[in-house]
Amino acid sequence: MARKNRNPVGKNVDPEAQKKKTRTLTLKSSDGQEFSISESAAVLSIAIENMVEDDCAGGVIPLPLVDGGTLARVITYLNKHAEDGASDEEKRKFDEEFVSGMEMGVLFDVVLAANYLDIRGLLREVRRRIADRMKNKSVEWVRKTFHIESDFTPEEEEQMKKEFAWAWEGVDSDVDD
Amino acid sequence: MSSSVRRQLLPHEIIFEILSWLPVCSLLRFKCVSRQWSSTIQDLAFVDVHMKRAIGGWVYRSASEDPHDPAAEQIYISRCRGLILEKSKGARKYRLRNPSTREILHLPAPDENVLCCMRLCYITSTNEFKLVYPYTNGADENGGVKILTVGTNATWRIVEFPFSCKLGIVRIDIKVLDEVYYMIRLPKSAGTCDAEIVCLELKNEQISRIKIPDGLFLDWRRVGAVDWEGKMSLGAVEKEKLHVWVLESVREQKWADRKIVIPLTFMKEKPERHDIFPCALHDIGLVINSDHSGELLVVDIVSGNIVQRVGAPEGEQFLYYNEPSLLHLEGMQPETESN
Repeated sequence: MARKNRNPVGKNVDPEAQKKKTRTLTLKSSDGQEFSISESAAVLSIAIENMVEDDCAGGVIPLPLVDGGTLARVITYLNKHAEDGASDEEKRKFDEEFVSGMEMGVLFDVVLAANYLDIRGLLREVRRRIADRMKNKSVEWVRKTFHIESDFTPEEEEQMKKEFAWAWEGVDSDVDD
Repeated sequence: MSSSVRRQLLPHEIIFEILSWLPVCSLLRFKCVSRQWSSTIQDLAFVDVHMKRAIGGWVYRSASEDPHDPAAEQIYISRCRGLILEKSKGARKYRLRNPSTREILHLPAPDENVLCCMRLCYITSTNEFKLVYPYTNGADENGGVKILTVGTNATWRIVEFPFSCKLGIVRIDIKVLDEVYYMIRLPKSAGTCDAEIVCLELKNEQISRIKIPDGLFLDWRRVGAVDWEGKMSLGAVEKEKLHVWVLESVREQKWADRKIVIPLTFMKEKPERHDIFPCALHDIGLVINSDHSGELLVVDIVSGNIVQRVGAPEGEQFLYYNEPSLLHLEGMQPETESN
């Protein structure tokens, strides 16, 4: 198997891999939208791969935790990463552009979907992107964005702020992005 | 549809991962977000993951000393897990400093004015930091090591060598690898005494000795300790080649069967240079300290050519390599002008 996969011409490719490329699956989002995707792209999601192996993929795979808009984005990602001949550099560039235009709410949706579908590369990329977006933000911005209510008293908060006052310097103004 | 309408909540394991990619400064601020975030950011497992992901960098200092610069008041000694061990220039005062959180911890002073042999070491299983240095009671007396376990009410302890070992008449080199503090005892010139390695296991503080076989090297003056992919080894540069003997097992006192010889092709331009000190073999290559230029050289061990040079900017010199860390030890205080 390993030797076959290493064949650079690709003539004697694994017949099983070839079948996966031509076989399509249908993924169904929480709001009832259906998407066709090649099996080879779909199984980059470990969760989908398990469903296919368990043969629960009688035709349509329901994904009740992912809405249509998010699923469309995830499928774009999977298709790129399953593309024949896409170099690592190309994929890296794609990943960067893929997440760069997304607003925070969309990043949250995608990170949840990637977590649920177990797509490691996408999960890593989005988590880093979220971190990058929040690093210069204020505490208030973070609470609002992550829907967290403070459980510190104002006195405790003041005390913590005093301890590391320098860490509050140079924080972005809370413009929404 | 905006995020505020949907109100998705991220599970904590995703929050943990996101936070682990943030710089220390942001995390100190975000401790204020909630009690849960605060406890995550201070959790030891989180601190570990964060430290592995954070990107470090060299810290430089102006080569011409400015007496008014408060940083110039301190002499860098050793570093471990993002903490810097330093000593005040004018007094026998030692402290640990985390440059990323700007916190310091004052340490009890040792009896001696030690600098180059003192090391800050970490023991993973007990989560303890220890400071270690060898001492001697004079050229003819038996010596030992002095150890301080960092913590409240810490005091320096003496552990004597369980065998006769006189450090006063030899040159010693220190290396800390895999929770062992190695004192490499080298003759100042051939034939004056036996070369050996004295090992202190940092966790249980057992001391043992490993004999260095005769005839390993021709010229002992050029021999030094090298971190060979995490293993203790001895290396010497002879005739544009690096000769390395690896200590395969400390417990079994087993040396490698053969000497490793690495060509140092780049030295051909200037064969007589004596400022080359190999310090470690990592996956990036062989790291060499060059005293003369103050540079770090990374050498490909197959070709012997320099693949990377890390130099300080014009007019500055290396101070230490900073690994950003959230580590906070009990008793640490914010660094101020006065302390």
